[in-house]
Amino acid sequence: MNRDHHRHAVLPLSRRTFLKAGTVAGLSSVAMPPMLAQAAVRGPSLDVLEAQSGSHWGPFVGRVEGGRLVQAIPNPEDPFPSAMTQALPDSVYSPARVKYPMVRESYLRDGPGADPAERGAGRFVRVGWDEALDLVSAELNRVVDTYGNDSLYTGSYGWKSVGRLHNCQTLLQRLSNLMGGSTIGIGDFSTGASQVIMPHVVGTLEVYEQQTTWPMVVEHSDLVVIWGADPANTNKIDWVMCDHGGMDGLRALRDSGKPVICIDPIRSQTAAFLDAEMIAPRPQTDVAMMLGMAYVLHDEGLHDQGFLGEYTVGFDRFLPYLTGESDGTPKTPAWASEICGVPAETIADLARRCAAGRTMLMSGWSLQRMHHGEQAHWMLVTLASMLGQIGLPGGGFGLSYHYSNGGTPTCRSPVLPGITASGSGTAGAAWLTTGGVASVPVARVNDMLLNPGTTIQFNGRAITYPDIKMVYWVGGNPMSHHQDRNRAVRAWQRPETIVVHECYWTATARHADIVLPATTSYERDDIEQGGSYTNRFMVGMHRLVDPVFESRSDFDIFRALAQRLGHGDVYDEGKTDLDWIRGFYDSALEQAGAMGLDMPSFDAFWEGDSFLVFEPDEQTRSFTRYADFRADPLFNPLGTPSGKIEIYSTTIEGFDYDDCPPHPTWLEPIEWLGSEQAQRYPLHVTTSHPDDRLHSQLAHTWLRHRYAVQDREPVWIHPDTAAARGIANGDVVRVFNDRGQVLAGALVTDRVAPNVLRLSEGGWYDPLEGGVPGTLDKYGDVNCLSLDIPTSQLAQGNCGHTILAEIERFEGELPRVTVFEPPAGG
Amino acid sequence: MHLDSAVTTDDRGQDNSIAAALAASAIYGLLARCFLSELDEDGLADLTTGSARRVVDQLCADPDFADPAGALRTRLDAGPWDRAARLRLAAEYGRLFHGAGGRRAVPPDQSAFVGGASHGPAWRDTATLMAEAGYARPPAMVEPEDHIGLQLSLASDLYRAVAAALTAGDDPAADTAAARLDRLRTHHLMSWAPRFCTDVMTADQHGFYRTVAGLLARLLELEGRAPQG
Repeated sequence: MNRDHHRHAVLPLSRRTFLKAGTVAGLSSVAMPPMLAQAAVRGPSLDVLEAQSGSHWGPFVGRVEGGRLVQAIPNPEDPFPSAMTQALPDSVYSPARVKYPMVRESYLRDGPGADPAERGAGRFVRVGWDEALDLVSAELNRVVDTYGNDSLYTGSYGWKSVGRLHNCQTLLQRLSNLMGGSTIGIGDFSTGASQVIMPHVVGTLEVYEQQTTWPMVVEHSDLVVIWGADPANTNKIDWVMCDHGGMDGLRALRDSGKPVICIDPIRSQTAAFLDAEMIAPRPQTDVAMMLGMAYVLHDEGLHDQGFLGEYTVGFDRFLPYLTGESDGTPKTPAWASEICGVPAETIADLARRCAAGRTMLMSGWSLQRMHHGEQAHWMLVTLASMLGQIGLPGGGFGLSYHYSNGGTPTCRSPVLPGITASGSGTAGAAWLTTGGVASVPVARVNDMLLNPGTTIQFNGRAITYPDIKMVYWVGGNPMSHHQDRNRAVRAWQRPETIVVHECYWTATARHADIVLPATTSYERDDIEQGGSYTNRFMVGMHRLVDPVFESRSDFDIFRALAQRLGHGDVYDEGKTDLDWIRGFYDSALEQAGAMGLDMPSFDAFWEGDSFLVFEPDEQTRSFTRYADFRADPLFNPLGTPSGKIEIYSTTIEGFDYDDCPPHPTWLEPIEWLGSEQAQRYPLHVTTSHPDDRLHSQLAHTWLRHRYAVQDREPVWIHPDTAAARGIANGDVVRVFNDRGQVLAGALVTDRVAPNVLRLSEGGWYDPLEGGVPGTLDKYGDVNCLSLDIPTSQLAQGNCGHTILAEIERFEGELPRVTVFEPPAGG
Repeated sequence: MHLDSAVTTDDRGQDNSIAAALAASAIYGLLARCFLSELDEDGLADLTTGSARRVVDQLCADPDFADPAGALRTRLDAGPWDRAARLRLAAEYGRLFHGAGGRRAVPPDQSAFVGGASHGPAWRDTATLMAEAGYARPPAMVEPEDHIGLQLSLASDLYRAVAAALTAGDDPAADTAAARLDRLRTHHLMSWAPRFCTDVMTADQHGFYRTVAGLLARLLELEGRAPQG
């Protein structure tokens, strides 16, 4: 033995020894087994690899070092990469990840229905996957057998991750269909009102249709009016993989020097980018302002009677309302000004400017996400009809320039199919799905949970709410997007069982009974196209890293459940993930062949760059919406009963809804700045799309530090409004009304109109007392303040923008934001 | 007798070092068991009547550890640890360390605690250290290697390795293991675990993890006070 060397070993150890001799003697004889396993490899992998993937924020190459995703490098083909992409690695390793299957403590102890008030209190117990899957499958069987299929709600809704295979909402329906169906949702939160009324007006959903292309707008429009939209912000994302083509359009518009007017109580990113003229009406008064413009057009003979006669029906029945002949109130600019706060001369001038040349009216969806929201787009189409430019290059209206980069020319490319709910056929967007054993408008879900058996109207038919015993939610965060959080907390105490698949501990996961940890897109293989309107990219989404913790893909989870439910290989048809992906690709390859397009074999695609780019042709580049209809309305009729634009709808007249008359009408919202309610709550709260996240997604990443004020969601407040309340920039404030209260961080700025607050949707609900309705939200979830009422009986859409509130400096002891589980010592 | 006075290379000193290493291994092992994952029925049985309990009892007799160890023993003796009690304890573990919500959570891995995201540099370094020492996570464990339970496990097994090497007369191996312990303590445990303990003691609503964190804090404090080699 080398005694010198021995001293090195012993001396440090014994010098450092901190135990008394008796303790050492006592403990050294305790037989404790080793803690760790013997290593099979010498150290973690240091391999570096790069592979293609993508997200709602665009395609990117994931750089992986030693098994860890360290960087998301935007694809060079992306013309305007989103900075949000940089946060994707952080999203994989967020402390907010759901690591294991978790079951609510009382539920695990006492079974379905146990102590529902515990939901939201954060008391979960980890279980193994087998136990979790056994619990879920047994409960699915129990609920369906005991109460019937309509007592199971699977109308899971939200911005699920991209990917044609791991489409979790379709995968849930696929399982549900194997069981005989369930109650599902109708429509969506983005366009709930418009997507129902537009088919009555123009015969299509309109909100999800390709727009007259940006090149045509830039070349032909003399004036662009952007009404309640912020495409520079909202086009950072796409329902599929973002192509960011809309920014090319905006840049070209800016470079053209053509006049742009933004009508918005907020000076948006778009307005700033375009250096646009601003008109800031009171929120929710757009219809009145449009009526004032329409009055001028008619009064001054600027309307296109020829167009109205040939391409529309019902203007003659609308006109008496416009002139006041039918109700004694002419909708003059002065009348409109009283309501919207915009000077009458400005309204009249805008009407004249629109009529003076080729005008494109681009509208966002905020106008219809409010009480009586159906009227706004109906009136916009009426206004555009009076201008007579629908179907002309650069003229008319568009309802989707701000969404998924609408107006970017469509490419010549095949269409990738995806996993289906039934095993056969795939068509249309998931949010338009109807069917199921029962279906309920998505914005009425909480109303349904609270009021089973109640009958409501929807688009001319009656719907009776089923008695929901089990809710199954994947790929969405209703505890973010649904209005009136405190009502939602009560509603989610009604079902006997709530199952959620989630990557993160969102408020929705916290209010569930069983939470199953789902992988992010970057932990599984998939395939996707880029550009909802363009199909510009086809992208192989490679599994960049192994599933983090015990997360499993939704497909894997449902496959396991299907096996437990006795459906064996029916669910996955005996195919692996890569088999499915290959099948989707090969279908596209076949289409490409018929189109004369070159595409590599699947193996070459998957093993190669996994990234294909397609280009538009001259025809798609010069697409003008409604050009065919305008060219020949008889041979290319619209999908309305008359085949024309319906300014007066006899169909809607037949519904006899007092909150949705048969022609566009100014209907006072239940609360607005002109209502009595404003005496008590004198500020309007807009719930704009956030700048640096996708609804509630990525709020838990470092991106939050770019915008948070004292770690709270920022609330924009005009300097005058702030000064009147003694609020300074950077203060923590309490925003409140009778429905709820939230903390937020004051951002004092003249980018927002006086008496208007901007508190973006998607801030994570962080209750001071989880599961307790009315408790203070510590972070700034604006839906604590919103109303859970329908837009009207016609559409039953949500009223996310219908909010009055008050604001004050928060003077109490400031509670820490905990919802993102920030590092306590970080 | 404090072993600070036993800095010798004679047989008795060597025996003391072996015993000291085994004792330290037992304490780290006890704490690792408490933090690695939720305590199941077997784990709680071990803590209430098994070998882990003997460690607790022994520490209760040591004035340096009597307070935190006594608090842990009191908490353990407050049973019975029936299913409902075990679920309550597991829910607290989930709330504290799985991010399941509630007023506060405490990230249990060094990377997330220090840097806000898991699997950071501390994870890689701990994993490397673990692998270099010939260890790996237990097969069912999917937490990153810089999880507090795994770092404590590594400390326990490294102390055990020192003892084994000394017993076998393999001084270089003992030296190497001791050096790894130094690295684990200096670069990892001492750099974040004291604050982790403070946060757990503040956030725990059940009481059990408060006492375990108190014991770990005491251990680290004494380790920090001991002369460095």
